[in-house]
Amino acid sequence: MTDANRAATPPATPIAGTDSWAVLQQLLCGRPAAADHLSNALRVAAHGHATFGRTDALDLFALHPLALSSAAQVLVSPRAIAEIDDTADGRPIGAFADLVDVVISRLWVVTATAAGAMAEPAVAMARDDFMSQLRQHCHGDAADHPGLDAGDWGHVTDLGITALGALHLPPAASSSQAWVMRAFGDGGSVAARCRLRVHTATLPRQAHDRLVLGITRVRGQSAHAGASSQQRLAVSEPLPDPAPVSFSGSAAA
Amino acid sequence: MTAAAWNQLPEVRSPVGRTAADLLAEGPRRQALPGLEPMYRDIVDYIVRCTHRIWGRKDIGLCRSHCAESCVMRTSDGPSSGIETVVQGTLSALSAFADRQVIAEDMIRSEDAPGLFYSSHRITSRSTHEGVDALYGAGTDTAQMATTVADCLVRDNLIVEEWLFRDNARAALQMEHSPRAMAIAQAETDRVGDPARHAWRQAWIDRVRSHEPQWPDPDHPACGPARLLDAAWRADLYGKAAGRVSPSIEVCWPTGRNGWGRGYWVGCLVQLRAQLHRFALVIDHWAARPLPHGEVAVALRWSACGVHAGAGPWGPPTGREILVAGSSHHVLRNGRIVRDQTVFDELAVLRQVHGGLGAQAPAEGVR
Repeated sequence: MTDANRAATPPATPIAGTDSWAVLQQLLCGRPAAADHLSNALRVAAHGHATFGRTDALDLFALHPLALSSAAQVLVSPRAIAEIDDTADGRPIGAFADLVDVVISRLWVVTATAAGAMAEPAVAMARDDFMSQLRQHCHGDAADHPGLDAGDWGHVTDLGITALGALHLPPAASSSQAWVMRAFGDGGSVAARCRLRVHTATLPRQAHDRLVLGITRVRGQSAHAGASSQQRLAVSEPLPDPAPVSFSGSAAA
Repeated sequence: MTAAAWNQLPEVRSPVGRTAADLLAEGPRRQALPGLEPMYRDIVDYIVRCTHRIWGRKDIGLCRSHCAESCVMRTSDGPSSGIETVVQGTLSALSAFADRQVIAEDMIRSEDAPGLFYSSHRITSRSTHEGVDALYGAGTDTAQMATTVADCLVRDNLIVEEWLFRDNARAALQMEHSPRAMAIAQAETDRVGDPARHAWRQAWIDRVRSHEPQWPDPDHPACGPARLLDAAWRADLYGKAAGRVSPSIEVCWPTGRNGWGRGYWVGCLVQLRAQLHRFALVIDHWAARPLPHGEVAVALRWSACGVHAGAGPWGPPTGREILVAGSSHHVLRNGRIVRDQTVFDELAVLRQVHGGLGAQAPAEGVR
């Protein structure tokens, strides 16, 4: 995946909206040709960096090009495109883009964090992610995802819960949880972008965030053999934690 | 005179999801704008293009033909008036940050009466500190990228009044300045000279405290978000308010407060409210416009005030009355908020916390 010399070729399975897919590959490789199809206010989260504006995005990928292979699994809808692949050494990676027509307006990438990547300082926030003693481990609402058949919602939440499970955290014994941020389907498969808030089982308890991309085959025969390939997930490393801002005279002020 | 429907002229599109080439493409009028230069295709194009011409193309003198001679600009640091003040301020900013790119993220507008336009323009600007700046001093070659909401009132083709809210504490941190140290220095300067120059702040607070709430019509998309903000900040019913936002809401608040979920959203509201006792809120203006994919953008300009009597990120309670004015841009999907981008100037808040802008220390024992 991080091998920029691997050619970005269309996947074996024909897809709709190939133009959007082609633009995404151009962007991921940092090729200026993509600029004509990028929102002027494009926001990207990739390699542990967050960028704003199409030029900063292209600069980021020019420094850290990312070529997906022909084995990548792709799902496209009029408002989003999701793509999951594996690196040569078997690590799942992926990309999820918001679309307006064929213009990419936002992009999230799961891949290795670049050396030196850090989050901007931020005012720390006390938060209650459950707001109830009745806890659920995957938050979201099918009604927030117009491109998704409501009947497929369970498959989407399974992606989030499976991602938590992949971190070897027993959900029932943990305050860790997932949020479904985007989800859509094409009738046969669903794709989702989730965020994880992971609480480690240490004292004192520590938390970190992760990004999850997933695609699940929900009907018909999977293009990939075997039951385990019905669901493909790419879970990021812990995202860089912002340095806390304090205005009271200590820490970053 | 009545306001135009919020969703009239759908061909006048939001900047959301548009390329730079599309935004700056020249072409025929899409909206009747008598008296405006022919190059402006609609009111969105007017705001976006004239901003680009002034800041990007460096034709700063265009301020004189786009703003009224007596235009008033209101920020959390105080008002300024007169077109030459606007021109001089733009020149100063560009002499320090010459490469400033002012990128439109959205422009949510209303036509409050025939020919009376209101625009809430959210921009994120990226620039490098290369020249001498009044606030930041000599150039350091550090970059900043902060979000601003500029609300403009346009009458007879001229901007007559502007409210400007910028995430200045974030910008300061990006350039490795301490917002607290800057605020203390500003406050010390504010305490020198005629205190009457800060009277605007008390007048603003008095207006917030005496204002009778007004609401958008029930069928206006801004009604839900306005009622929700009221339920949270005036009635302290955060759970009730949160029930009306998406469980996966994306939250972007000043000074790096970026998160998601109802708990984070409530956290932002509670953190500010907990620091300010005797809290008051007024929603000053609202607008809404269609977005791609059937979503709706809502802009709420609001003013709040309270006595700094609670602990929080602003430091130990000071007992001073604090004014916080800002703008919230919401994205509604199926009527529910899925994104809240709120901008206020936290540096100006800190300046008041430290006794600037005329914020008086309370008498002994009075809190």
